[in-house]
Amino acid sequence: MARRSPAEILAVLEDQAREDEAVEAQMNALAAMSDAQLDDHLRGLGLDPAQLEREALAMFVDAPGESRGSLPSAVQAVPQEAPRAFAAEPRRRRRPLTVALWLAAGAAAATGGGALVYSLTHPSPEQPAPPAPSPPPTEAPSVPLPPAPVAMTPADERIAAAAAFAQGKPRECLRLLDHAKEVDPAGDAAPDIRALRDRANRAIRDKPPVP
Amino acid sequence: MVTLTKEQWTRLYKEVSGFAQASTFTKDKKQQWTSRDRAQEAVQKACLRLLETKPADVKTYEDARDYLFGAIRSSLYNAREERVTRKAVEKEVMAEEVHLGRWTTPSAETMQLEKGEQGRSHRRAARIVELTREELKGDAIALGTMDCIAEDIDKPADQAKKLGCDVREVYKARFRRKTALDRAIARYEQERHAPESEETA
Repeated sequence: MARRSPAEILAVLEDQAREDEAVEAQMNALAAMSDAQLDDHLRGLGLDPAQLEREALAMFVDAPGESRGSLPSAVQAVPQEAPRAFAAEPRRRRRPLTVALWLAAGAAAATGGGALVYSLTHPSPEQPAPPAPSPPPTEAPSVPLPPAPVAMTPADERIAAAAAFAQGKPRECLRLLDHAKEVDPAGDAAPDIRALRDRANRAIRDKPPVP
Repeated sequence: MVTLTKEQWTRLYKEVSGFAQASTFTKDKKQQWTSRDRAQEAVQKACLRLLETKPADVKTYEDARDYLFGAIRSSLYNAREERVTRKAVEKEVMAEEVHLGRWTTPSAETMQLEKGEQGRSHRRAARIVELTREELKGDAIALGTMDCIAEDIDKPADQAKKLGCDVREVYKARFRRKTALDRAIARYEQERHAPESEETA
């Protein structure tokens, strides 16, 4: 079995410590939220709080024994209404239809164009004029525009900042913290947040320069 | 098995769902539904495990919370690991580019300096690891996780298996190890600056 060098061991220890800190910060932030704040946070993540409530009751309260067979329903657990954070999906599902319409229009235009060329090169007054080529669609079938991005609360942004830091993105972490600070300056003074900011600054400072 | 009110179960389920979604969140639109399903699956697996195993030591709301967060983290570990591996591969490719001379080769002086820096870094790491072990003296699980890391076993579930404990114990040990690491780094810094202060005195 491969033995790691002390430097490699220390790197893993530091990585895991960073990850644990970020998780702890997330857990604390979630615990500190009121029920309404938590619901807002979940909506921001594209989850439906009412659906989650139903799932929780079905799993733990109504029939905890029967819920064991419900694992494959993970996909069903996705909210019924399209969540705002995942608005790209309807467009993706429509793509085959859009492509088909364009292909059909293109084929019609090609057929009509071919007929027109033939009629011009083989004039025959007896024959009725070839049907006019069907015009290509002037505009693509309407594609719903993605709705405006969901506004994140400062608490959401701080959670996202912790997650960004855990993923080794200290600059992104600081950007999110700064943005949260603009909206909620008092929250920036929390010890957890100050510690997270310090760590992100340290990570940027300690990062070796790109060759 | 812990007994909680409807409101507590709902609150707990919402918290862990939020945590799992945030942990798997990706900006890549193509991956969002996959990561979303992965998060949801991790939450359901963790909850089912809690219901099925009915761990005796889960007695309070906080215990149940810790249990579910730990189980979800463990379940989502593989996904995170894939990202890390991809980064490592990219790093290796970069190293290979440098090796093949496609990037500027550093001068002999720079190489010498880098070698010296590597030596210092190695000594620092060795000493901090040693001090961390000292700080954890008697903590079999936390020391065990360090042995596992040295043997290239990083996955918490694998470490738990090797150490014969629950994965939650591994996560708890990691928090203790983090404290020990902080203390070890502080001790190392003191050691490093001690001769200088003695000289100036």
